[in-house]
Amino acid sequence: MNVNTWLEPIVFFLFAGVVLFSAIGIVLTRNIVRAALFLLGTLGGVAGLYFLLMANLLAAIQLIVYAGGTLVLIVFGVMLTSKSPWVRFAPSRSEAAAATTIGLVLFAALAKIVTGIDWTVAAHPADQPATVRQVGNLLLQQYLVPFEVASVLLLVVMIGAAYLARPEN
Amino acid sequence: MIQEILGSQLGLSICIICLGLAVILTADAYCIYFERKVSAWMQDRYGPNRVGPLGLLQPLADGIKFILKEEFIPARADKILFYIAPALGVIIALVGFVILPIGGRVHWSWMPEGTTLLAQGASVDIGVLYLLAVGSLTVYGVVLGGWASNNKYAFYGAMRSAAQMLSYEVPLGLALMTLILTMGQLRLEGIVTGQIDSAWNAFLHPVAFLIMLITALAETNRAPFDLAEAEQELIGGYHTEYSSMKFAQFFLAEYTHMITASGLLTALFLGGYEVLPFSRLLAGVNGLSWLYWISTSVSPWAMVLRMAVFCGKISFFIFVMMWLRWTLVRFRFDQLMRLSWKALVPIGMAIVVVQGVLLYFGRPISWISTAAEIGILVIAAMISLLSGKPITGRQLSLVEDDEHAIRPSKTPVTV
Amino acid sequence: MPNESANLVLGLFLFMVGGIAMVLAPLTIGKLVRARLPHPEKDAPYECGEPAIGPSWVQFDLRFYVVALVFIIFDIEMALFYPWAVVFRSAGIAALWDMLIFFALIVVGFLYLWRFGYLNWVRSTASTSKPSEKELLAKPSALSAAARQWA
Repeated sequence: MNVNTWLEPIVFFLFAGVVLFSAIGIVLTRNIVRAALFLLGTLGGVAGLYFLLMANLLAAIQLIVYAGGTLVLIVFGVMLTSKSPWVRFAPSRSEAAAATTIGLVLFAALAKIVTGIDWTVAAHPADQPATVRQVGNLLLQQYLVPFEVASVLLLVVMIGAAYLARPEN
Repeated sequence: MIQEILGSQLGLSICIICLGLAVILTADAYCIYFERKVSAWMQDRYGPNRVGPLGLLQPLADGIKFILKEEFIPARADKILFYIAPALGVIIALVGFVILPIGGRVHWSWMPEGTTLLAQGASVDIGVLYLLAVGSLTVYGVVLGGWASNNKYAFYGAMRSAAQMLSYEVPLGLALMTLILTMGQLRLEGIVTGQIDSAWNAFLHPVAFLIMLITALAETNRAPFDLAEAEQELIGGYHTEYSSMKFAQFFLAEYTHMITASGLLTALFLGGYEVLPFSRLLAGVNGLSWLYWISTSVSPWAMVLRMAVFCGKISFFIFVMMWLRWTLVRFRFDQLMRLSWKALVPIGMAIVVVQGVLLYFGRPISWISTAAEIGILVIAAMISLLSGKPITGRQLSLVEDDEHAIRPSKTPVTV
Repeated sequence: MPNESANLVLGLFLFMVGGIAMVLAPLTIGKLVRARLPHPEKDAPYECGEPAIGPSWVQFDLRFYVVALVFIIFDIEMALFYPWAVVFRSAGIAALWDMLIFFALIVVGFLYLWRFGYLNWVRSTASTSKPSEKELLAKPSALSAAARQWA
């Protein structure tokens, strides 16, 4: 009884459906907080896809940093800085045109990348998930310098962000 | 057929998940009953005692009432988010349970010799991180509920709750990091077996345990951290506008979250399904070898006992949470933030560094670890005592303002 | 898809289905059986019996935003640190120095926030440009005058 063969496509299409539905929702809704909720759906769905791809660490980080951290920041930003008229988007015609153009350019670029890749499945697909241990070892050996530089970056961001949001402003 | 299902890892996991789901949802209802009973005992009252023997059917009556009551939705609320928020809260609180190691390894008599199955919902190599990830999402149910209500009290409660959950997740992550440092893995069942081999983490990392206990209370919005629903100032906080079944769902989410948090505390710090600490050493003592048998045997009976022990420990933590709720007074918001950012976070960073150094000198599992953590706590307490009173805004009290001082009136007030 | 991921995804799936069923069933049953007597007063936002003034979606205090910002920094730090913590036991002295340097930098940032009062929730006497306590005490505040009326 091999459950995985029929389970995997079902779960994949489920998560993909959630991602797609939420992504369309973000574009179509005019309410900022609803857009944030849809963004949660997209980020969560992508995390689910990562789980399916056995990239467990990536999925967890996606949830912790993006869904749990950055999105809360966005929600806070929306809730704290906007007065009620701003809760709804009312894009002007030129803004809509600009957004459409940028969206189309991005879509074309992504489509070019996706069609340009050789999608044939490797003969021996990875049967072991990329473990946390491997990532940790890489962080300590090959990517030691970027790891340390990241701490400097975090320091700069911490001070800069606090300075921008200081009480006088 | 049954043998085949129970004999495969996936089948066993599905059975345990379904069982867990049913148990959690029943337990939620009875948690509310016990909350009322415990509060009644502590205040020398009876508590619910009319519906059924000892009031045991009270949850059922409550459920029927929740279904039958009229439901209001404020006219200016964001209706879609108003519906989604409590549901989101319940689901996110539930999914954390999936990886709790409740049963250990089991071997059925019809399975080939030497093979064992893992009696838990799922086992992932990122266990602790997964729980942190799920925990970081719990904020959405409350925030969206409070925002969608379009009620000032609800919005206030939601904002407080969000700031509180964010603040307490930082010390939580730091406390767990000390654990991961010494255990060298994120897998929850691995952490449990590691504790059975050596000692419970509550003994090795008392300060981390304390931080985790405090953050568990804060993350579940339980007193003394229940500022999100502070009745005296915010009516009901984020669920002010909720009524009937949707109101009940917020409660469901809170109690489910309590169960999951208690399970996490049990697995990480209290040896999971081990009955008593040091059972490996106690196994040598005459008449106590069954302790070690329960913790390690692959027999199905041992597995059932392990699950019972795990549930028992969860109940213990839930009782502690209720006990604290009916004992302590609520924090003020500035005290809440100060406790997290100026006490728990620095202490958390200190224990991570100290454990790292201890580990380098090869003493992670010994009394030195315990002593070092308690030492940090003592130093922190001394610093806080020596550094004087924190700024709370109370320094500018009305009484200090000489000219306009308000002093208690001498004449008795007549109504 | 190895068994492990399958179990997790399946577990998540079952719990979500269970959760959604748990949420939907009572709601639909309730919808069918419960009374509904709408009245404009019932649908008004609750403000202790007073008619509500304005929407509640107002601008909020910026301090909440600072909390979220600092939280994200620590969040990312943790995401970087967990894989490191897992291999620490086997990695030796390099890992220790690695951590000490990383932590030292984070601590510098944290001390900056602490020193300049970003971690204080009550900012009235502890913002970056401190008005002295005497100064604040010197002038009788309107608050105390107002409070006096009730005394």
